[in-house]
Amino acid sequence: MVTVVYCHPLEASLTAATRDVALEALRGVATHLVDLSDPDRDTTGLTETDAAALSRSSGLVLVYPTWWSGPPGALQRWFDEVWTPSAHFESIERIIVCTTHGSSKLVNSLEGESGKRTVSRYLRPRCARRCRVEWIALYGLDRCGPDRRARHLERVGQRVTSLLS
Amino acid sequence: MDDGNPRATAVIVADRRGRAASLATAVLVERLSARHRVTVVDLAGFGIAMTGPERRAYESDEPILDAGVRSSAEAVARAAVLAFVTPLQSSGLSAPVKGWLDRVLVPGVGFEIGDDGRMRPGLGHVQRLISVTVDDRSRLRRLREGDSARRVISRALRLVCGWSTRSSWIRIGSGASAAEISDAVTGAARRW
Repeated sequence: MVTVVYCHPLEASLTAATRDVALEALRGVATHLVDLSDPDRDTTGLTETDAAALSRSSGLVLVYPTWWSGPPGALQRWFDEVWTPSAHFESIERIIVCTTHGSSKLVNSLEGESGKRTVSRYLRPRCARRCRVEWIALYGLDRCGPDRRARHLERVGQRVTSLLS
Repeated sequence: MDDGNPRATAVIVADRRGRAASLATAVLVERLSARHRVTVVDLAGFGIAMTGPERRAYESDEPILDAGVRSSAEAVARAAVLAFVTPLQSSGLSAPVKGWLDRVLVPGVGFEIGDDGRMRPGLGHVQRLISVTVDDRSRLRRLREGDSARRVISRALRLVCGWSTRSSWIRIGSGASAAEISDAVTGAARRW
């Protein structure tokens, strides 16, 4: 099983397209989709459902835009509620992060890439001992053309497909 | 204090869940009130997620649609001091504080996007960033987990402030007494 977490308020966004590419790449595989796009989402009982799905998952795919150097507030809340300090999901062997950054790689490096740290240093140690993190990021989204966006989506599809091998 | 003087204003963005965070906010208000006009943004009930209409408006001339977000943005526009009170549970800021950053510090408030698509700082008037965190993790564990929250404030947010903006980071435990909280905040206040 693979858990896919999606967080973006707009369906007409590159992030939504990325989610679709990831789900298409996982066609035929048991998938649990966590959709955090609705700000009024009633989370009653969902935390337990998501934790149960994660405990059966071998892969985790996070699809979100990076805002202020980290995940959006809704995804941060999901981390707080599901990835509590005592939670461990030792079946997860791969984490793939598909994200976009408005500014350049240089600016993000200066900002400290806190979202990347959250995944690699907070989430990963709670997964399988040899869990690998793959960071698929499109930097400079505000200034990039359709070619780079298409290449980003292609790369997402290839890497998420590799989860199945 | 003159309303038009940006030095007169301090904004405290407070996630007051828990006794320690409430006490820390009260102490911060008291200390800052001596030299600033203080506005407290209480995040109880503040929506943490940017809505679809807000995201659509993000790059327009009027990116703010919500009255609560607008009042925060107006306070920030006058702020010489921007302070945060945030409990830290996992890695990263608390979700309400992160949601506040996402929704309030939009183009025209936190930064500007030039015609060339490049981002330019928008908080040059902020001279002090203060973070009071309620955090029970050990120093070793914070370092091991990457201390992401601190990076968001002291690096990402500071990049859109002035070069001379200073950042203070205060950590208190959830079980700290009122006196310990007061001492921690007051000690740091000497530098403000």
